[in-house]
Amino acid sequence: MTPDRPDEVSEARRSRASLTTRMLGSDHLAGWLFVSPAVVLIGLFGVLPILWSFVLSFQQNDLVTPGVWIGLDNYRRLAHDPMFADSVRRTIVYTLLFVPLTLVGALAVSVALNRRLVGMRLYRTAVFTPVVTSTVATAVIFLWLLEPSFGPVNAALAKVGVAPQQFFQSPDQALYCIVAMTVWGWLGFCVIIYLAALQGVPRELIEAAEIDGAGRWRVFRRVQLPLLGPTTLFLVVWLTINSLQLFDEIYVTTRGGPLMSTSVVVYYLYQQAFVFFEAGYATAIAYVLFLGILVLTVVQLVFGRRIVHYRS
Amino acid sequence: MATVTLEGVRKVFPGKPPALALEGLDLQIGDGEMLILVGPSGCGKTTALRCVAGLEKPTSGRVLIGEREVQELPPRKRDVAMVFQNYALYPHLTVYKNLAFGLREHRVSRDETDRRVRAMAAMLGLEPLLDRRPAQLSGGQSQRVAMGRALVREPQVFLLDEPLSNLDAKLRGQMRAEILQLQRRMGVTSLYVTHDQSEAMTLGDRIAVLNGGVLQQLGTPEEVFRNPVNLFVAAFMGTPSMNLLRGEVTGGELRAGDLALPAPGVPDGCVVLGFRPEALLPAREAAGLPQIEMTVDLVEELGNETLVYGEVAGEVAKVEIDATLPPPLPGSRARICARLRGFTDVRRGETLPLGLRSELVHVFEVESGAALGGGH
Amino acid sequence: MTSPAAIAVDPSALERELRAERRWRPSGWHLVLIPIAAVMLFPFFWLVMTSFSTLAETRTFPPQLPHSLQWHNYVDAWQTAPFARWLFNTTLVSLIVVVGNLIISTLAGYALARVRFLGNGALFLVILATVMVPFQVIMIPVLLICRGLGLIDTLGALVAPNLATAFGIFLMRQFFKTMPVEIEEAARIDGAGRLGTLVKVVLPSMSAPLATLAIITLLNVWNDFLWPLIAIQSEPNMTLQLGLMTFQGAHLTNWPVLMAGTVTSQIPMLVAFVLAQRWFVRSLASSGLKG
Repeated sequence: MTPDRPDEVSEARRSRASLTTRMLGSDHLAGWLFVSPAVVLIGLFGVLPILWSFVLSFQQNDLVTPGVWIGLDNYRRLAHDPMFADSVRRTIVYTLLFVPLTLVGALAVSVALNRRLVGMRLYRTAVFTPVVTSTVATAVIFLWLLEPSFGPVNAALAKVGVAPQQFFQSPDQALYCIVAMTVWGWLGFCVIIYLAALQGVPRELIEAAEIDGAGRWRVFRRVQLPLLGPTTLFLVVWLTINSLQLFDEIYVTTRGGPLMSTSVVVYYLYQQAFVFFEAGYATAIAYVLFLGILVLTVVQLVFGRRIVHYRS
Repeated sequence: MATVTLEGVRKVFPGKPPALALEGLDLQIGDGEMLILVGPSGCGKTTALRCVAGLEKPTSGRVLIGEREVQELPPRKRDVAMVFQNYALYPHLTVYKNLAFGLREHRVSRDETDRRVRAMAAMLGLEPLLDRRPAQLSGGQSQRVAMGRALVREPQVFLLDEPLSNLDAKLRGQMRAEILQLQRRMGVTSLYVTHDQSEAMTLGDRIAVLNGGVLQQLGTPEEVFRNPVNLFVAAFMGTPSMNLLRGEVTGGELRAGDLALPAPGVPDGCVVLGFRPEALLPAREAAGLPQIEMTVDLVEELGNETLVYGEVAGEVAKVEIDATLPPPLPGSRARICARLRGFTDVRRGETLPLGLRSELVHVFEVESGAALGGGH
Repeated sequence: MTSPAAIAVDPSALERELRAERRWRPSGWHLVLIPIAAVMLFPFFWLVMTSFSTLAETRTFPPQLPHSLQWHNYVDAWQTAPFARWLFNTTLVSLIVVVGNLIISTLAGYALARVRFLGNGALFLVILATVMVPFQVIMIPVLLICRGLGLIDTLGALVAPNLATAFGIFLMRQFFKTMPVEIEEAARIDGAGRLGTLVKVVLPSMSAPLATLAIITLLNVWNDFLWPLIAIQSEPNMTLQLGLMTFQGAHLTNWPVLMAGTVTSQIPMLVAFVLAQRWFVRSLASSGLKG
């Protein structure tokens, strides 16, 4: 269908197409129209809860009867709560183990995976697969792997003459089992990130370093590793934030036990809210956790940026 | 300082299908000489350079630095240094540390490193930049740092991979002179790769022209320019490029379009006639010379010279010769270029009679492109 | 020195030459990579082996591989727990949330990146701020809100709070910011409205960020545990992961059946991963690089 007068057609098209904008008047309206679903949802499920939470932390609330205002009592109680202090300590121990182990492990594995080799696709798939397993499934699998009487790990240890360990059932070992489990679960993700970063280092830089006299290790140490600085910083921040929020694995494996040895902050929080019906207290814990994460992240970023820029 | 020798160097790259990058290259660079490898993209010049650097291993053949066979050695054991096309400066290190990198890798003491780095920085005018990072440098500055990094090690061989192609024209000219000066001053054996034939002409002690992985000609700039051994070299060197016309030789006489030239010793058959734009003179200065008439199409006044483009009788020859083509058709028109001195009063559409200096004419065989005669 | 300008080459001769050059020497890196792969894969291996074992076989020490495949474990798991229902729930919720996120985050991200409207900057800051707040801070109020909306113990509770995430909006806005404005401006000059420009001109070239958002959202929703734990009580409304945990509670020492149930719950994601590994890896890698 050929138009007889092209300007007529485009005139019609113009008036039709920008009808919305013209009718409603301006970019302002268009902009708000576009963001309105997001605003409603984030407002309702994001902003409102943050503010509500804040109020909640000053109340005593069992989620059934109306809350009672108690001012700063929750926070005062937190400051003197030995169980909370213990949970913080455990969370920090967990983080101090989990983050470096995962990071160093992932770096080493990604270096090994960053080459052209027969079967490399299979190796990479093997390393990446744990990324898509859920925390629940990982926990269940490891409960079985580390089963004291019938699990394969104890069987292997027995072969080298080590006595069977209690693992999740031992107050001394349970937390370390959680570490091992979560390192296994997170390694793949970090390897993906590191591998992408390694592959982002221009080949020419490596060639230049080789010509300048550096061997494989020196090239890694003096060229690739420093250029991975920003990636490492990102992973440190990301892993720390996640490890401070450890919950799922604890719930599925040890429920905080044995003897509270795996009760980390978020698990303690959960118990307070849904077992002891102290929602106000739990929210106060959540805010303290939030504060801790925020401070730690800022500190890491500030120091990290400085190291990343001045390293050589 | 040492000589560099490539003996029968062949490089095949794996793939579907495999690619032949270098076909049995033989080359010798004298001690302290600057040899330019020039050719179009994909001709193998960068591959040859990388074989000398150790970044590629030849499929067969030998590479020698001095008397040492190095084709099995990694780059760091060869005592070579390289300037990359994109400079490849270490982005996380200062200019000082970039320059010092190679020295530190070779375990040179801190004091000695400092002395040499500062001396090189002084030579290249980099002193005020020593604390900057590569991201803060301009193109020309980066290029100088790249050169400094290579030369501060006082290597036996200095390799350059199209170091000027990322610079704008004016800077390129400036840096060309600097590179030449630097190389002469340090007297280091150098291999320089470029696709720009004018760069090759101005920089090299000798030029090696490559095409399709095969060495076409090796010689001084003058030799390569004046006496190209085949059609490819003739067409590649020189700007504007050589005029090429299809011609036919019968009984010792060559006819191409309206031109008729004696061609003693040339066997009968189809040939390609080549002459550079500067081989043409205005008719009034060309008494007694073979004449050709051009219908002017475009006049470029450059001040000291004028380039006149136009059509003459004849058929243009392409470099990629098809030997099965029939002899040139009468009545066809060919576009050529003439380079005349100073300003002219030629106008578009006019007929310009020109004379051809037959001593500057080249004749090429059609099948192989080899030169049959002509030129000096 | 004269030689013809080009030589006709025979590819098969070159292949032979290449093969002769490469002396077959397997790399030592395999010695490093095989143990690594083994450690990463062993838990899966043991999971599957156990799921095919008999109860008696799991009660022996040292443990052995199953003598024959006990498929009935899977049948038992399937029959004692509503895995099909859980799979349906999780799939439905994931689908709605992913599509919802794609649409809402794209619209919002686009507006934040491109449209000059009053409050653009402030809105973006608010959204950025919400990204920083951990879920545990808001989970109780969100629970109360869902209760107020009558969504508790329904799939709606799983969908509504996740339909738009601050992170998703942030991601899309950043991607839009990196696109050149000229194409959109040309479209607008041609008369397309804001929506038309977005749909016809910008979106077609954004398959990568859209895929990234889709995959990250999918992974988060599919494997989410804490929120379903507190929002859903009745078994038929559970997600796959929540259901798995319940299943574990009921079959604490019946390892073969428990493992069979676990395998069942993980298969959808594993299959998706194997089929679309490149997409998964690319999405996760780019999320890291943006960080």
